[in-house]
Amino acid sequence: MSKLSILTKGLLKENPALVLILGMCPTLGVTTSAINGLGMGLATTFVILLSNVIISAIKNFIPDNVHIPAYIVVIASLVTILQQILAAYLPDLNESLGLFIPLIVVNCIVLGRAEAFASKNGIVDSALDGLGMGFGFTLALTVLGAIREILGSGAVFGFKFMEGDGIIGFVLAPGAFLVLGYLIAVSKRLSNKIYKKED
Amino acid sequence: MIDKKNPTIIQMVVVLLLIAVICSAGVAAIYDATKDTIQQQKDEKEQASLKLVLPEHDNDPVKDAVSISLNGETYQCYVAKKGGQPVGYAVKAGNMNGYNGHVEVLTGFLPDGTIINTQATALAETPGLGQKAIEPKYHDQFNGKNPNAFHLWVKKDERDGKKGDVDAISAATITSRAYAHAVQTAYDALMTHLGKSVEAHSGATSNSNANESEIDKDK
Repeated sequence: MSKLSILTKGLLKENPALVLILGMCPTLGVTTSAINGLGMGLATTFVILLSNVIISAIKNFIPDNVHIPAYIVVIASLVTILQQILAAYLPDLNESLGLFIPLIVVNCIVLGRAEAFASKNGIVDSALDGLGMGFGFTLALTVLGAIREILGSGAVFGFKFMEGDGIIGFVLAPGAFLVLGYLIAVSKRLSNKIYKKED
Repeated sequence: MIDKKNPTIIQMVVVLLLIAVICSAGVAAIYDATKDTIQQQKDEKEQASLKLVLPEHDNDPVKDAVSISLNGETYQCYVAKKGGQPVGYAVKAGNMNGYNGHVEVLTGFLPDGTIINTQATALAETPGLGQKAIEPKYHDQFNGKNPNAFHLWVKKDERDGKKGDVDAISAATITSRAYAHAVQTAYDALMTHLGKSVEAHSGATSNSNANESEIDKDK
């Protein structure tokens, strides 16, 4: 696999939220606005990137039968560090993401990439994989958040273009499922079109 | 070198211990580096809320804060002074009656009990419904009102034969009740502090649940 395809496969072909259907808790929970989706996506990217690099670097020293606890300790520490940094420098984002930040620890994408990729590949490839997966997740969450914000509050990235309220259902949980369903369908179609030629 | 497939128990323990120690050290280092900034952010936020609810003053209301005890609870009361004379009070009070639990409001009062402004300091209600309590459209209705004449409960509730004066947010009566109740609690606390008698209708513990049976048919 070329370096470029490692980086880009997370965007569409193996998009964690839309194709692998991983990390549904933040995907459905925080995407009430585009900025929340973007913030959550970037926060997760930070954790995947660093956890992939660290785990790839130490993989040869970890006995097989304790690798899960070892990975989780690394990931949990990274998330704690991230939370402190957010609280110090981006307090508003930290407040609006709230409980979902500590929950990145149990986001299956992070442990999934550590297991499926970083524990078998070199540091550079793992970093690219982390970045690609993170950006794919960020893209999915931002688009999902933007659509829900446009329909639900008549605004995008906090910029209000419409007077009054939107369709409140889209801000609530059912709207998240609806929009996610359509996004999965659209991404599937796009993916079929693009990758058919290669096969 | 560690045998990945058949490690001894010592190897496993040592590897996990090392990882835990190194990770803890990393977390501790970042904690040390960010704790002052985090505290500073919190202080700034508190100062910003206080500025919104208090009149012009020349002291530090946080330094001159007093604690008020009422019905077994303690409330923080920030006192704004100008030339040594108190010109306003900000009382932080909350309850667990929001649609999503905790609602906390910082309410600023003039010395005669008139509300200057209110500011939610903890509110995690449904976006698009209860969360609208942070919008001026809802909370501006308290400004300039004195709770001894302005009844701090929603219009469709009746207490002691008196109708409330608070316009509830449509489809979010629970939040509106909890917010108004927090303001009422703050008022009661302040009146206790200032030594004025609290009117009988404002039984701080009972009033938010008074109409539990007809809660939010429209929600």
